[in-house]
Amino acid sequence: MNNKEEIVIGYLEQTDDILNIDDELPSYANGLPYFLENEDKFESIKCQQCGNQMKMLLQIYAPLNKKHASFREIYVFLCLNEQCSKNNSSVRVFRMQSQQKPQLLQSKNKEYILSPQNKSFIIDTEIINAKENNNELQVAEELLPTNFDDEDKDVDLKNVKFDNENKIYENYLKSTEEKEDINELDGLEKDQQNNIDGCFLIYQHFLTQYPNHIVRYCFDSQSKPLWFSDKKQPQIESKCPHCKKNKIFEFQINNSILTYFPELYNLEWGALYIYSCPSSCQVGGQILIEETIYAHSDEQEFISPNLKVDPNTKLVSINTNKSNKQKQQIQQQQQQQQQIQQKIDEKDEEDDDW
Amino acid sequence: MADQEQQQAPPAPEQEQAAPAEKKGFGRGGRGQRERREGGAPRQNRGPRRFGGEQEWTPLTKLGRLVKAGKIKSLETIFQFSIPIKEYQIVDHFLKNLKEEPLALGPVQKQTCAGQRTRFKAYVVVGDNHQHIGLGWKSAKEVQGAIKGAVINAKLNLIPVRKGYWGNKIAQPHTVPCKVTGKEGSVRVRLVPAPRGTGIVAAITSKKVLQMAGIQDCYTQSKGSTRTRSNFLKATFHALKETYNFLTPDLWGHTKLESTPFQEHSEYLAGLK
Repeated sequence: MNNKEEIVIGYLEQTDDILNIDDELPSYANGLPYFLENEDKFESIKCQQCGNQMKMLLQIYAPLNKKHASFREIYVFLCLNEQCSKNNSSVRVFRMQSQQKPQLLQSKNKEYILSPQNKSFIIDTEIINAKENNNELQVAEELLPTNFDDEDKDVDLKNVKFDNENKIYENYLKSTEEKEDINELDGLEKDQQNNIDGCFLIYQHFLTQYPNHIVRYCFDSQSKPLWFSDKKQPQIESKCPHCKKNKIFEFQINNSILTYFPELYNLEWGALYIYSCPSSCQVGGQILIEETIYAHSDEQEFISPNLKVDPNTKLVSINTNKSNKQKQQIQQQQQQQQQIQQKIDEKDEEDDDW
Repeated sequence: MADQEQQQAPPAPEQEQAAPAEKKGFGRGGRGQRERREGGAPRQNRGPRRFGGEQEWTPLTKLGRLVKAGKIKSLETIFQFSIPIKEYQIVDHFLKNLKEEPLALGPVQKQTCAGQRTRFKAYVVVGDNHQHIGLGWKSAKEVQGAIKGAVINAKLNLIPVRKGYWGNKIAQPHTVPCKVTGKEGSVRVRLVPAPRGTGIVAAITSKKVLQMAGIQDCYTQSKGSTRTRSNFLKATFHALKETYNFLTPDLWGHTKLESTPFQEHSEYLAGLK
């Protein structure tokens, strides 16, 4: 398992020879899959909705510090059929592992290739410090118009340069127009902004900090995924069939992969989140073990059947340290304020004769 | 004796270092040190990152991809089909001469167990003085940070403004097409068409908003507690939004059903063009 303090980020890099690598097993995208066992031993992977053969998006080598999983590969498959594009079951993820160094067997099924015109890409990685990253994201929360609850956090704004904003502020102070007394600004702190998607702004910020990255890997029981949007955030409660533990977040594939493969342009999801068993169990002698994948899309039409998805998720900031009681109190206060507002509106509407 | 001790000491830390090096995980193999050859800056140059510097925009939504590829010719197509804009770079792409102006900047306070916590709240209006206007707000610890967030918020809340005539239809439209009213909290703002040359007859706060929306002549009436500037600004903004919601007789004719940009450019989206 990864150390909580580090997040690994993956980029795509074009290459001709996939097997010319320093690692023991390959991690790459777009090509024939390299299975660890003979592919005659299992069925070819098909879409559950339409029955077509699925294409392999990428495979990554993610070994763990455990004996039975020291050589572990994860494969992500996609169905490119238009009818399936609005359904969560158009993506599937599988895991293959072994104890000793396995023999790499390339699949002979050419239909697994996602984009025959493009070459294959190797996944290059960069390791970033999770604490620094968290601080950067808190700075982003402070400066972007997100709708998160007010938190008492100490945000370090040293590295941010406000050239443009300083000019605007100086112009505002210099302007000779009449200005009302600044202390008269209403004491109301909270203003609801219903249209703005706060999580999406932070996700976009993270992607501009590390441009063109594809994979964000952080396999830990306490690691949180970087959600694509604040609508339809799921609570993944699927369990491993062998050890009955809850599956935890392993990695996510971001939307930026679409710039490399034009075949994927029509897909509706924003990011894929892969959840897997924390102890990487060998389930009942199966060679290919299926794991949970969630395709996150903010459109209502997108179907996510098997996972608990609450369409009215309330916005939660990155570090919530408040206890449940405090949250309940805040909710009650908000409800009371809304009721008061409604009463004021009703009274005013009676006087309205415009 | 001392030498022997020193000789024994070095092997121990080496063994300790050897154990963590075997820690496994995605990306910890020898390949992590490989330099990137393709596009973009080499990874070693990522020093302390600037917030939102001038970096190239990679679109994350379908609409963003179409805009960046130049398939959508103007903002009005997006407004016509009521497609929500999630990326503010889309607005920057179409409107290069957007002006930002803060209208209200002041401290707001919140009571905490450790005294009071003051932050600054900024209301910013963004407009091109022709026919687009956006209103955004943000509260943050520093004034400049609040302005920055409010500008982005305003760009995401951009709306088109419909203009019309008071009397004869000569030259360009200069006033509101009809009487419209907007409300927020207890404030009601009513915009009334005015003849050419009247100018904007309004209080300072709403005058600025109407100027940046491109309206040249307008009478206004307001009601309620207009001293609460946030509600006053939002009420004016809602009134301007109403201009395109109002069905006037010249819109009575049948309009041809058009396909949305996603359907029209579905071939591009499927990767064939």
